[in-house]
Amino acid sequence: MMSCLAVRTCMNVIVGRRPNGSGGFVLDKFSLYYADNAAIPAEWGSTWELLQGYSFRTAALNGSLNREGLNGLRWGSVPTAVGTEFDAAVHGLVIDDASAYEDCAYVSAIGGESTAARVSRIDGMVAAMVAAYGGSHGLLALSYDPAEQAQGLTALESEWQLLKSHARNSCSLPPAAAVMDSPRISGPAQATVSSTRREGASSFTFLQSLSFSHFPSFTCLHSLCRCRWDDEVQQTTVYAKSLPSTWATSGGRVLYHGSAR
Amino acid sequence: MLGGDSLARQQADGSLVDIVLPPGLFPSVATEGTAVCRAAPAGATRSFGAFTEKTLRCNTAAKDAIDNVCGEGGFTQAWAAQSAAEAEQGMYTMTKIPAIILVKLMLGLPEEQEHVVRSLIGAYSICMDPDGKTAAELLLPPSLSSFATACCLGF
Repeated sequence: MMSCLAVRTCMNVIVGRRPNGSGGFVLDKFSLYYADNAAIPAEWGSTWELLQGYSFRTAALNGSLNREGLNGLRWGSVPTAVGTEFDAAVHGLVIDDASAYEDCAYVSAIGGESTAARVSRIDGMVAAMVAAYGGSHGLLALSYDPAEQAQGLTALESEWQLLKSHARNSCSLPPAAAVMDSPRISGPAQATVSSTRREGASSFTFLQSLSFSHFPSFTCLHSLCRCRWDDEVQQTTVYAKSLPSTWATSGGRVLYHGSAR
Repeated sequence: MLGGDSLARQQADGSLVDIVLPPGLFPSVATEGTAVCRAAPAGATRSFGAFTEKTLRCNTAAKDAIDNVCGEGGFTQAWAAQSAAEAEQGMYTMTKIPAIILVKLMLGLPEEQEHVVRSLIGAYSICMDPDGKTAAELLLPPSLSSFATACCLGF
């Protein structure tokens, strides 16, 4: 008679938005699912681990509110691309009654599994799903980011990359007060560019990642920092929304190597 | 409703920012500026990585507009029972927030309201049936219905 005793948690995480290059914005979001709150390790306290909550919802699948796709995935009835196969159990992908009710799939926890191993397992699952269910007529929806769409990236890959980047990022999002007065840091850095937008003499560059030579343990992600190129002084300033106070300077500028323009 | 400098001051103070629902994206909003929500920390202060658990607290016009969007699109939203204080203020708190609402706000707010957009950054519950009614009716014996009430609330 009883089948839903576990108290579960399912979340949409809103990370931010970026210009899409044509006057609009691209939303950065990912989903989380924790099948049983009682199984959350006490040492997490009030800060739950992102990686353990990895999940994807029906929005990663083609169609609107695509529960059929999720069910097909659950029962292994979705046709795979020629020469490929996908066995959810191999990767620990779970779609049970409760998660199906929540329109989502999640990756089971394995006791004693290291973070690196879990990342590798999910990497493998995403790659296998893209191989089996990707393509223009496949089960997987393309990314909602036009630039990623053009590369053929799926929403599944896009959300996983976003979650992964935040799971690895040790920075905290700033409280509202900190956003108002973003600290800046200086030094050579390497940037991976996501998109750029030009306004008059300035072009705004949005980054996938930014790492500083002088701060090797710190990687600034696109949701946490902004980059502004100024043609007049031929310089780029990075505005980091949140940095440990010991790294903040009073108005320093960042010059980075790379092709951010 | 706040605007301009006073809004910025509020944000710097750590208080909540008014999110005015854009009428173009919430068609039932008759008069611009009347439908207002705020992204507020949800209940217990839990976070997911760096993302604080939040919810939307909305006035009556915003609640109606959100209900309208969800009703037309077939999305399931849920609101908590109003507390006495909320009833007095005419405010409602969401307990299940369909992604479409967050998407509309994140993509629809104009560039000059970037501080408002930033106030939306966080983790929002999308748990189906947060009050557990369906689960209680279908799956649970009466003695366990209070357990089902906690289902999906994350406690």
